[in-house]
Amino acid sequence: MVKVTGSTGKAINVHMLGVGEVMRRMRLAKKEIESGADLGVVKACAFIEEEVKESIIGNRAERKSVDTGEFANSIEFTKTGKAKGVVAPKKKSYPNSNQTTLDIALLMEKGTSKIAPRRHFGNTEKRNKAKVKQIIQKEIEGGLI
Amino acid sequence: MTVTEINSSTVTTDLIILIRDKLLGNITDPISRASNEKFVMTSYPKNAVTYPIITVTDTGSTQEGKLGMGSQGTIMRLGVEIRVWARNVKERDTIFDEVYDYLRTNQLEGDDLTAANLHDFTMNSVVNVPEKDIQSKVGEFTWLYLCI
Repeated sequence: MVKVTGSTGKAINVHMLGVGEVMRRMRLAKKEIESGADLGVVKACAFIEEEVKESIIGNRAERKSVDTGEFANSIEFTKTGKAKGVVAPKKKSYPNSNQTTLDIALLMEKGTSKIAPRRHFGNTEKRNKAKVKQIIQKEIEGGLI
Repeated sequence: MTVTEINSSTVTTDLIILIRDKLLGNITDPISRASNEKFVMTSYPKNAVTYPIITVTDTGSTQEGKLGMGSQGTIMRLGVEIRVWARNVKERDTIFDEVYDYLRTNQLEGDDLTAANLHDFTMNSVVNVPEKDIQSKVGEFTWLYLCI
């Protein structure tokens, strides 16, 4: 309740109704948005993981990078925090070689003086930027309705 | 072909040629070359070359938005990869530093790249790719361009 002086000089009492309810609903909405974003990022990362794998095995515009299949199989999504995730190759060593899947990922992505870059990660990101936003947005909106 | 500014109908080709020419004119080539050899190229070399070299290639573009409901103008984010290929790490880093310094100091009104309609210079990533005989550094840059 707030006391305000009226134009005639008398005090007027102003009652604000429903403040507590609005605060409660806003806190609830914040929780819904946060959990929606978290779920959205998980779904988006799973989608990107599949897209990178498809790119590596030759089902997208880039030239395929398959020899033993180890590189494509090593791509995985790791949740790194609330609404945060990373899609990257898991470090695995190749038998009879001192190279790892991380070395191969760098050489395939950026290319070398002998191999043209294949940009499995970079091109996947560019192709799916809008789709990723859409997936996360859908989860946030779903939680609020 | 000399490109002095980026045009809406020829964005990609203009961008690559413009950056190549600017680097050619502003980055010091550490060796003297035969007239048929180039220091800055617009694609990865397919034949034998004399290192060090710089390659300027397109990494793709994205449309950030439109310039209003009744407009056909768009806001484009143009991606360019500038890669320094050198004989050793020191040479690679020295040339790359010179490239970055040139790009960084050309962002304001009246500067080369801003006058060519390239704005909001951003360096997204820099990665080293070591090979047995060649050391390369891959920088990915973007600029904002109003396509009107």
